[in-house]
Amino acid sequence: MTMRFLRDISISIKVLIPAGVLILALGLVSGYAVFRLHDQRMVLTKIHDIVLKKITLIDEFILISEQVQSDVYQICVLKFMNVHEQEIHVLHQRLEQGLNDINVTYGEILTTWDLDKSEKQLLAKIYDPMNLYRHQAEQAAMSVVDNPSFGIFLVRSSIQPFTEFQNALIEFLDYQKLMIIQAENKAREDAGMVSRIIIVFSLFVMLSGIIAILFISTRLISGPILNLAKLMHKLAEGDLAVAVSGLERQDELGSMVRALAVFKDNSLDKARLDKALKQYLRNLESINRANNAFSSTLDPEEVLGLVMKEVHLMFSAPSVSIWFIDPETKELICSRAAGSSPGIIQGLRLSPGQGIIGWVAKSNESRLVKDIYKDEHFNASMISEDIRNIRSLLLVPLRVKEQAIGVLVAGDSNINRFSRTDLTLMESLAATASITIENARLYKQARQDSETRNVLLQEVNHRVKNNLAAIIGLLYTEKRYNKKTNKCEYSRFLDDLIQRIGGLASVHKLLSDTRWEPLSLKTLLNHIIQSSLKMHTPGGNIELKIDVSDILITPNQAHNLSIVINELVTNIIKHGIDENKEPRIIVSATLENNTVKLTFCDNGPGFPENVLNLEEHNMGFDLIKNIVKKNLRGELMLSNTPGALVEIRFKINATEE
Amino acid sequence: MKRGVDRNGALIVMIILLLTGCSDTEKSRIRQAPPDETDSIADDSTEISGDFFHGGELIISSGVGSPKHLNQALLSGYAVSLAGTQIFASPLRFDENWNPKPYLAKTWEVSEDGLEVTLHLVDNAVFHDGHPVTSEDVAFSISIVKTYHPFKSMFEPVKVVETPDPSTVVIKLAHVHPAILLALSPPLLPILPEHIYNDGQDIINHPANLKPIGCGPYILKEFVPDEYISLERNKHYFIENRPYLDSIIIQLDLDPHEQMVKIKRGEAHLIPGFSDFKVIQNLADSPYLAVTPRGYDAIGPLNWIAFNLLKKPFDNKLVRQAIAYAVDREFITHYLFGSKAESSTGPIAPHSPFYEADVKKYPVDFKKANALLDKAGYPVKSNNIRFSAQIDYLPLVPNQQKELALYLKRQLKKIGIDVTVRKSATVVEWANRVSNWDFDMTLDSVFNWGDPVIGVHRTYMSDNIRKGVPWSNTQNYRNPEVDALLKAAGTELDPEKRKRLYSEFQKILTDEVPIIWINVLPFHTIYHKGLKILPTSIWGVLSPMDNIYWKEKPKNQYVFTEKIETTRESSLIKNVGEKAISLIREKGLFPSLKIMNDPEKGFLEMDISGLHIIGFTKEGIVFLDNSNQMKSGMDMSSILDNNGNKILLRFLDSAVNGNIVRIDSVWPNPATDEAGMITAWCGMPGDNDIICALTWIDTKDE
Repeated sequence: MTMRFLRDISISIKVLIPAGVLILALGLVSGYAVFRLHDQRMVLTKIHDIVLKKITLIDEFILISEQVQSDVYQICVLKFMNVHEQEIHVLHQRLEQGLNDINVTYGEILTTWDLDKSEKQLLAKIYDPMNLYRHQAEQAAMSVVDNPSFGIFLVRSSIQPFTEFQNALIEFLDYQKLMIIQAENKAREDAGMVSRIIIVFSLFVMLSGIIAILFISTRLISGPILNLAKLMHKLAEGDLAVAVSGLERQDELGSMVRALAVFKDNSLDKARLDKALKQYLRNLESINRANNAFSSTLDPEEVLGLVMKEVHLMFSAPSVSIWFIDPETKELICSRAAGSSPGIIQGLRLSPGQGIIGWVAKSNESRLVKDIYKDEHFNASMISEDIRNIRSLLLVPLRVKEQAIGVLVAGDSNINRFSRTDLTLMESLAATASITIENARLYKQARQDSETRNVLLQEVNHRVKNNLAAIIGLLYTEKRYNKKTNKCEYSRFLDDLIQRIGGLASVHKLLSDTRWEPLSLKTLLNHIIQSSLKMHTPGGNIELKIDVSDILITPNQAHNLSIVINELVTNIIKHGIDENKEPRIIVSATLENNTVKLTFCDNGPGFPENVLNLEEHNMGFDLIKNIVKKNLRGELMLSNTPGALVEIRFKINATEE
Repeated sequence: MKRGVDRNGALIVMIILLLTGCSDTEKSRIRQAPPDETDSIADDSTEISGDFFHGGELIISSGVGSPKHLNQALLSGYAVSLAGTQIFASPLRFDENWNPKPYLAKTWEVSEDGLEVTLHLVDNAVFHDGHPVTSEDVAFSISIVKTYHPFKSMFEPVKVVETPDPSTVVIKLAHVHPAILLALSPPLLPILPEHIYNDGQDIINHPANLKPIGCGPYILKEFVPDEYISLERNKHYFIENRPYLDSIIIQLDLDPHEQMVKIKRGEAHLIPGFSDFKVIQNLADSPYLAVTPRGYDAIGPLNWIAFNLLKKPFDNKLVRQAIAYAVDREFITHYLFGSKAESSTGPIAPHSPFYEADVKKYPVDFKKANALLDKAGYPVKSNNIRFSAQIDYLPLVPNQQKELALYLKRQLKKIGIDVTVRKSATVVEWANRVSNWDFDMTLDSVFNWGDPVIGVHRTYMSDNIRKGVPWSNTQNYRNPEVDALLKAAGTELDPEKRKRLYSEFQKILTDEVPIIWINVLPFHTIYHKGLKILPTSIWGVLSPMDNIYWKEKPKNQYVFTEKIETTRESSLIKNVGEKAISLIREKGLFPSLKIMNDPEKGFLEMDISGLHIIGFTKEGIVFLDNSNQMKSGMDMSSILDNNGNKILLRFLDSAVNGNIVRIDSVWPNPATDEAGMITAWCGMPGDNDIICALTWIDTKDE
């Protein structure tokens, strides 16, 4: 109580305490001295008074007894003298009063004061002789009155108890005197004792003062401040676990401590927040890492492996397993397991809804199991001996389009191993994992589809090519057969047809080879022109100059251009070769403003007028005109330089129909 | 020779409402009668069964004075009633729980309005002279008591007593009288034979009072005032088979030490109303004796200081209160009375159902006392005295009255009152002084007598101020309020209402203190353990002792020693001594004393022989003295011979060793009173007693 009071008062008062204590103590010493001396005087006075009263009473006692004894003698004498009864009667009355007074006085001494042991003993010693004496004196007095001759016997015999009684009385009186002497001695001793006590007490007071100062300064001020400093230092170092004591103090130090406690609490809050944030970041990181990892592959098996690994990493879970629902049987099948006895678990099948995993799959809800043996869905019989040591579980359904496709399970042999946060984290991981797993699955399927398509395409290309070759073959057969008939016109027609189909086959081959990808115009031109020239002038010496920048065209454009180019080359070979001149074909192509300008130029005689005006219709130019206008959505311009010049313009990215 | 004048004077004495009582505090200190005894003791009507000694003699040692007659119809008192209740029967007796029991009246009824009491008497009761007891005798007795007994209130309400037939008595009351049944008790209403008393003689001095004829269990054989009362079994007692004892001897007027010696020696068997607290403990330690404080419930004995309110300064309430503050009750009860007595605080004894404890009390306080006296107008004069006064005391029970008077003298001096203690040689002398209002203050012992109506009203009612009547309102206290309260309480049947009235009464009295109540007397009954069915009802031994019997008689302790040898010189005193011892053996110690004391019958002719017989005990008590030089019970253990040796030791030595002893002593010759050398022959009649025959050597002869 006092400690608490001392602790709680203001420091400004605390520092005054030692001085106060000293002053108080000195006051006490002085007070004690005064009191003791006074007390001593009072005690002495009181003892004197009491002893005086006692002695007075005892003196009276002795007087009475002497009076009584003298009365006994007197009565005896008077009786022998035959004095008148009346006189004796007076004496006798006095004797009786005296004898009674002896008894009463004794009672007064006994009952008026608190007597010490010796006094009581002495009084007890008086009692029997006193009563014996009273008895004897009374008998003596009575006998003397009755029969003086015999009474004198008793009077005489009363001397002995009287002497005994007197001696006892005097002993008591002496004791009283002794008491006074003792009291005085005691008073002297007390005086000495008082001075000694004062000295001792003064020393004690000084010591007390020092102790008080030490106590207050160390225990109540500096000690707590040092503790506070230590505490602050520790807090500053970030040791938030340190206990803040002295909160209940009511002084300034108490305020400081409380402020510090608030600071500590704030720091703790911050630390908690930091930790939570860090954890959150770590979780994000983990999720991110997992996502990255998951996106690094589209191989489902690898994805499962990664999921297992990430779960293991993130939760330090010794036991991880992934279960999928068999879409047909709805059974849960453990497709991957790591940790204890993976071999036993892997491939394990659970009926729908069986056990905790089954429940998670069925209910499509996550579950945090603190102790499987206490979980309502736990079915001990299902668990093999080898994995009985698993106690905590984290179970999260793997969902695709909100439907559970499986369960991701993390387990640990300790009870209460996982937290809600872990569950949330695992849910995030499971969400990503689900998508990854699903993507991998989809990818695998898409790749399989693509391969099938390629095979089919090759097959189609192959068959188109074969068919074209067969058509060309058929045309050749027709031509050969026609030669026999020598129908020239028809033969030329066949040649043209062969030439055109060959062009198509050539383009088809080109596109097939490039897998129907955009095709270099230059390649296309080279290939078609060379192929056309070879067809028309085998071993010919037509000079071909192709000046084309690197332009890619679509397969459709290529296809259309191949027909156009083939017709133009055929046309040049048929009509553009001047017998006088070395035949020359100059092809150029430029790309300007997204428009391809393709020109064919020869050093032949140039177009006839009707052709130039596009009035004459023949199959070749009609075909060209239609393809350029309708299929390429381009323009066709003919001119003579003087050789024939064909210019075709079309948008490079014109939408193919 | 001179016989003790005072003692002989005391023989005349009388009666006395002797005190009795006891306090609860001492009950625990005194050895109690064993439970089997006390249980059956309670009820007088209890029939005994099994083996018991039929017959035998009971010796009662009475220390409460000698009665002057034996008719308690005239004066109830311990001494009268002790014998009177054995001789006379009464209509009812009471058990120890205040319940009335049949006695002469086998049944009784009280009417609903309380105004009529009908008694149906037994039909076989006859007086000791053979006359049948009739309803007329009862009516006559009531009229006598009503007329002569000082307790006026007992039968004052009785209007008429009707006797419709010889065995029916109808008492008609003027008003309700709550104490009527108690008034029909043995000590209060003896049934007197009308045919004897109604002979025209003065009732108070009627010769039959000394030789009464009643119908009680015992018949008076002999009454020697101051000596003894001898009673014989009434063979025609109306209760069949009773009484069991053959005879009862009541020894009269003994002092406590004498009583102690006698009962210890087996020479007495029962001491009633014993209050010497120093002796009580001594007796309680005896293995043969039992001590009980029971049997005094109805007595309610109070010790008090009464003032004469007719005299100044005692008419002043302040003076009385001052004196009350000066009396230290604690000191009196605890020191003077050895813690055996209980303080009393008011007019009604503490064990009465009407006692009120919440009254004004007077703890010792001299300052207050002095202040009150100053206020009352009695200042301290030059001689340190305020005023002088006289105090009387009842000359009975020495350590209760005389010692208290002497104590008060000393105590009141402390507040400036000079007190003279006036001695009355006899109770009669004292009673005359007090009843005639010739006193300032007096100590007194007064009993409540069961119901306040009987024992309390008389002291305070103004209509009981009757000069010459002892234990009336001798204080001359007059207070109309108190009169009214007492009158109301005396006619109130509802105990609760009565209690309230008495409570108010006690509060007024303790404020006005016409009397300073000091203590309840510590009365005890001491009896031999072989005695059974001791009456410890509310009236105790003041009840018919018709069912007391001896279960085991006290043993005769007197056995001779054979050690005394004959020598030539001592043949005479030896013969005398042996003769004394042989007498003691034959008659017992105290009867022998009577024989030796009787000059007519003469055991020793001392004038001629110069021989003297004296007895001692080791306790130093002289028990036998044929010269009346000493009183029985006197302690002479310290008496010395001329050489300073204790005579008793020399006698004892002689008795044990069988020598004749010669003592140079001042022992006076009982015939000549001259002292001289004695020769003594000593023998022991029992283990603890010595008998000596003394002879004086005539020095002239030598």
